[in-house]
Amino acid sequence: MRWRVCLVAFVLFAARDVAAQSPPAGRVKVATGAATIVRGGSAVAAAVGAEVFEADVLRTGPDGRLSLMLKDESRLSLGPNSELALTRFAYSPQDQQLGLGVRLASGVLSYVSGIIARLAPDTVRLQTPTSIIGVRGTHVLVRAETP
Amino acid sequence: MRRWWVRAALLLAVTAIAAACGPRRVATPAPPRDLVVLAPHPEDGPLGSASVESAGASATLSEQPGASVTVTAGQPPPAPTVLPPAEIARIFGDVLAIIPPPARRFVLYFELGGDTLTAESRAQVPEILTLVRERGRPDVSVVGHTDTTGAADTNVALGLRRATTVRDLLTGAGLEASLVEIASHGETNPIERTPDNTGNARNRRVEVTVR
Repeated sequence: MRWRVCLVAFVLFAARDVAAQSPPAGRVKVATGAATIVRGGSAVAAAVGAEVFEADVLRTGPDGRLSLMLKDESRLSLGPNSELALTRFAYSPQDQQLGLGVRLASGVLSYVSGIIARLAPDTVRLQTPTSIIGVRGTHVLVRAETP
Repeated sequence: MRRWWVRAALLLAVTAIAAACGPRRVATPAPPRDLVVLAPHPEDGPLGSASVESAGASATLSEQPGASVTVTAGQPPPAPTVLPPAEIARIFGDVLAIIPPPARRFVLYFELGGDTLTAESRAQVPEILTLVRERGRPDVSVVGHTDTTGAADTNVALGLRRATTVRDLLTGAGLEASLVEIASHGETNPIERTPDNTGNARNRRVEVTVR
């Protein structure tokens, strides 16, 4: 019984390590007021220079603003009272692995497209609770109002 | 026979009372809605286009800067209209003010067959370092390329040697090593297409991108 528990624990730990090894998707460029990165259930302050990974959730408070530059040179900016999940980020042009997905749960987003949108525009998806936005370049603004 | 009739009446009464005293209908909150705008490019690049999909229908934003739709959840998007610049500034001023500056690319060239920078390219390195300092903690990618002289796999190694040379110059001048990523594309990603085994000065290069 005990070895079984140990095995499960080990597998979970190993899986966590594999997840942590996926390369960063980008970096925080601007952070003011209340701005946090939620990763695996825990929140850290989004400081300038902090790395951002696929599956991270970014949140701003009433006085918060946040900007990111992703590895493909796309630029995401969030206004106050906003929540954005980076649902997919694949950027490996050499082996054709490309894709960008973000989900704006609420608030205001500016997206300036990068190399993924240029090489594989059909893989870029911005989602809100209301709609799905496909972007073929280059600068899109979204306000998602949820009552 | 009579008992059956009484039961039915009782049941009817209970149902009526339950309906009257049950939870009242609360006014339903307004459904979520989006405003989507195709904005002018921050550096006057191309406008592009976007599609907005809801309830199985879609609207296309294109051609006009400020083309926009307001979409209500569960309903098809209406025909796009143009949002005036003043309205864009009012609603989106917060995010427009913090769009980071775009990535910048530098191309450094090499002498034939080795990892020695040309004198001109070497003189460009301080400019890269100045930009890095201005940008705080930027990601810096350094990718080596070669011309088609020699074997493809030798060229992958040569491209990596060139990238390493440039990385060492940058970190030697104080750039934080953890911010630099190096790679080699060998001869696979030329600026000028040439036949195999052709020397080409423009293809013997390292591309440095500061994000």
